[in-house]
Amino acid sequence: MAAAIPHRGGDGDSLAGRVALVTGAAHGIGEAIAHELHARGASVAVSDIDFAGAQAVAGALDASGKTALPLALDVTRHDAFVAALEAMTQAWGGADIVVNNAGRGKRTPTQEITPEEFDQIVAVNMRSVFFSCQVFSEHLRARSHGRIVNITSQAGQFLGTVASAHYVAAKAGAIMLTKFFAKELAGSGVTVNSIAPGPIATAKARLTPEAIARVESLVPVGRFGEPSEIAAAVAFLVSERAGFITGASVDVNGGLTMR
Amino acid sequence: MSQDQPLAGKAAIVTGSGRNIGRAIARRFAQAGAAVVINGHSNAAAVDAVVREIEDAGGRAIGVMADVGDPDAVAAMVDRCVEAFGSVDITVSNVAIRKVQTLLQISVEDWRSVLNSNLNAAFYMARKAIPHMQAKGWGRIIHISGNDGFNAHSIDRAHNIVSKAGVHALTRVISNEFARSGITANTIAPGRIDTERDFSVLPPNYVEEFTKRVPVGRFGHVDEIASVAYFLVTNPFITGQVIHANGGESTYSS
Repeated sequence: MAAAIPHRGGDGDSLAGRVALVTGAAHGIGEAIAHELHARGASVAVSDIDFAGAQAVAGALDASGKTALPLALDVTRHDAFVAALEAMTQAWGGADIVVNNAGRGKRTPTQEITPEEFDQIVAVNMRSVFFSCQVFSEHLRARSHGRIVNITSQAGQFLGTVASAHYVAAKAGAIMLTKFFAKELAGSGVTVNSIAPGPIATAKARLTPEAIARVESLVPVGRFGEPSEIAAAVAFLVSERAGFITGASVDVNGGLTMR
Repeated sequence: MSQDQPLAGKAAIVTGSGRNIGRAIARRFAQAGAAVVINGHSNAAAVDAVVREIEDAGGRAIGVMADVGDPDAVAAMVDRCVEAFGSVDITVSNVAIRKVQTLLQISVEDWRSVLNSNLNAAFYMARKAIPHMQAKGWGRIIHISGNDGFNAHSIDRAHNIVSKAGVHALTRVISNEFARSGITANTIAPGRIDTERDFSVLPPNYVEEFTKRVPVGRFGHVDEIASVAYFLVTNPFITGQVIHANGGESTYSS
């Protein structure tokens, strides 16, 4: 059947020949995204501030190193993205897909947030998205094709769950930056979208059993999401078939919030 | 479930699937192994052609002519799907009529007619299909809305805009009520898609003029909407959401 009904953009969601950067890919959602894109045929730069973790994930993807490259990448540094692009260009001739997944949540009472902590949370969760898009957007535009996906949070859209002021503001900013770059790049063949995850199972390790039960009761589907469910959404948005979707936020949250 | 037939064993009803977006979605589901009800209202030849197209490619499909605004006809269509394929697992409420009328040109009859076909129809479908989905602990409901429902940008289609906004509200209600039954409900909001349509009711140079308004610089293809539908069917953690597939046209503001 598959061969008999042609589909614009090719059949399936193969990423064969594509080169992807995933930030924060040593653990959790980022690791799942790296696995998903690699499984679909992409070569993946597995980047993380935890280089040993990145090495472990890249080694699991491809021990030969041909299709998986570990990178030490601190997303708070502009020059780290320049270096990542250089490394990917050297290894594979350039980049096609950028997944800005690295982020950091921190729960701090409002009156206890210091200027240093505020700047740090904004740098990891929002400024990182700007500098990544700034560095990669012109590269992708020049190639007339590209996909950028920013992993944000439902906390950037709603005050439904417990989160702190700097974090919600930074995530809201990342969603707006997504739209901004989508508009700048529209028509060039490059799309820019965000995915706003709800509670994901990787967060359970930091929660008490009571808190886990509370979240499960709040989420309409009655459970935490799996990293693979976020990764599947990334895989869709970076596929050829999603070329008409840009500037959008895809909310993967079990119905926790509905816009 | 085989690798290339992930929807094998599922049955889907796609309303308004004789052509355009509905047809593309039905084909996409059939390609993935689902048995599909092809539905039309007035053009039986188009419905038959889609059924044949799917069958010729080795898929399973039946045609059911039904007015989606007639609750009895919708109930009968659901029954036909269950008879033919054993279940109803996926429904796509895609039918929409659009009349170009300013508010004061809209008669009460016009208003009722548009709301009935575009909004009430989705309710008629859901109330008959959901019990079958509950029985299996799995279901997918997809509503095709549009930019209109999120962006009241046009002054010549109040009934259409209200119906599309209502469709998304229905999506959210269904999501909340049936999330723990394994049923998800989502809305797709397509932007300008290169569908066959009656150009006589549209401004001259419609395509040229409106292409300029789409940031990506082109109309979307019906298969791109079908891809979104398929994506939503495969992801169980997405419910109550709207996916905007509009080339960036309204996502900057919504």
